[in-house]
Amino acid sequence: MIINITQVGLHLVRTKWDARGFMKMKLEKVEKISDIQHIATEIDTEIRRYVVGYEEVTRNLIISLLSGGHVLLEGVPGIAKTYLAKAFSGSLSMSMKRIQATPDLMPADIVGTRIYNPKALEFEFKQGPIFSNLIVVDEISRAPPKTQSALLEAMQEKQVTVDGSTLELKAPFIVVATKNPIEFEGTFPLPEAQLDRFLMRLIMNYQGQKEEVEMLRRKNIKGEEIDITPVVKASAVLSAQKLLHTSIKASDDMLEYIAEIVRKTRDNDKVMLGASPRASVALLYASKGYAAISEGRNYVVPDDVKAVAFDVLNHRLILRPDVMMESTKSRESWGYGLLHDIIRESIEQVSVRV
Amino acid sequence: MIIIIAQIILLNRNYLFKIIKGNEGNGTSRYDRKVKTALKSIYRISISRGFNFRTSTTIREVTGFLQVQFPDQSTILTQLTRSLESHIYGSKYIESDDNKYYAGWATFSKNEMGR
Repeated sequence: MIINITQVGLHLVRTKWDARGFMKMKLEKVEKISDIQHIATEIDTEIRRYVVGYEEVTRNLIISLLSGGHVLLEGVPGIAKTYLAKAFSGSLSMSMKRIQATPDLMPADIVGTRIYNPKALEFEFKQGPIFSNLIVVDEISRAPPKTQSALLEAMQEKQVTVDGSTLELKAPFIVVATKNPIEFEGTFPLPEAQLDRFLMRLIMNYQGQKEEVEMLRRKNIKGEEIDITPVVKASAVLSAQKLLHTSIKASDDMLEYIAEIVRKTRDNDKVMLGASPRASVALLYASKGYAAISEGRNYVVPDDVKAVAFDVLNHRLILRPDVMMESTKSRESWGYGLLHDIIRESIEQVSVRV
Repeated sequence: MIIIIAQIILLNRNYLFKIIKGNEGNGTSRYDRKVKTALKSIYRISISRGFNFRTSTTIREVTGFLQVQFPDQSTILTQLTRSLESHIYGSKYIESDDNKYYAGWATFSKNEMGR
């Protein structure tokens, strides 16, 4: 049953009563920027019921979804990367597949393969998990380069080629991959060119003591049970993506500001290769997402760019080898501290446009 | 002396300063007179309160600093920031509802600068 609630401009579908006694609705279509904000709040609320202390990561995960970008969640083992990805996917009413990357994972395991059908006397294509709206790839760096390449090509092109035929992937299509920075044995590092395909790399650090206790409190009551209500439909995500790209404007001054920040990363002495023009596009899209979900604005301000710059740029910089060696000596920050400094310096060198 | 010269150089690179001086583009300001006046007073008061201006300073960072300095002006500053940003970055006209915030800030800044 479809209910059109004109007061808020949202098209909603009645689903079920949740544990708190509220009737949950799945958002189906988005027409105004405030609806994008509403979607973000709904997803965020669902995730927060289970994940404690990663508000910024969750926010940026939602921004990526609404901007049509892919996300790499990076953090040490046991920090709830997969748990967050599961909670995130649970809040979306769309097809989802999880791939556990291992060294023997083949491209056909992801894309699909042709299987002989003895009844029809012909080969039929059996779709792989890539033909879903949301793919959670656990420990992506454990997959061999050939498989990573197949996956990352699909991420960029939003299509796959099997036996010479090109097949379109579902829309929306988002990949949430997880990776940890400490293991090298049995892993295959993602090439920089492929890392560039992720809109954001979200680095998950340890929670604070208060958050860790709160997490324990929840586990003490519910254990590992996750009962997240899907609150947003694929059609709503698609219309939100379209609205975000067409209705949120960045002035020429803001475009120059974004381009200049990205270009500054290329001039830094510590950087061997700075961020690419694709990074400028990613920074624009993420800034638009931030403008929409933080304040429901239809224009981008410099503070939006600053807010997402680190997560958009940190995986796109190749540091000089000697600098990299020096930065990874500090095992506590895994070299992220230096990336923070470089990106902050790049931002600070650029005049804010007004 | 060196610090003062360095500060002047930095200020000249800051776009907020350029707006106030009216040389942000081709010499004529693109912005509403009320916006320029508000920015000018925000700028002056923040400097007098020891705000450390940098090339990358945004309007929101300055008004955020002022909100801490003058908690009683918090609502006005929040609304003023929204209005200034929508005019500068969103190319919108100043809404008539916003006039009270500009007037409120003008009164406050006049008293503050007169001290």
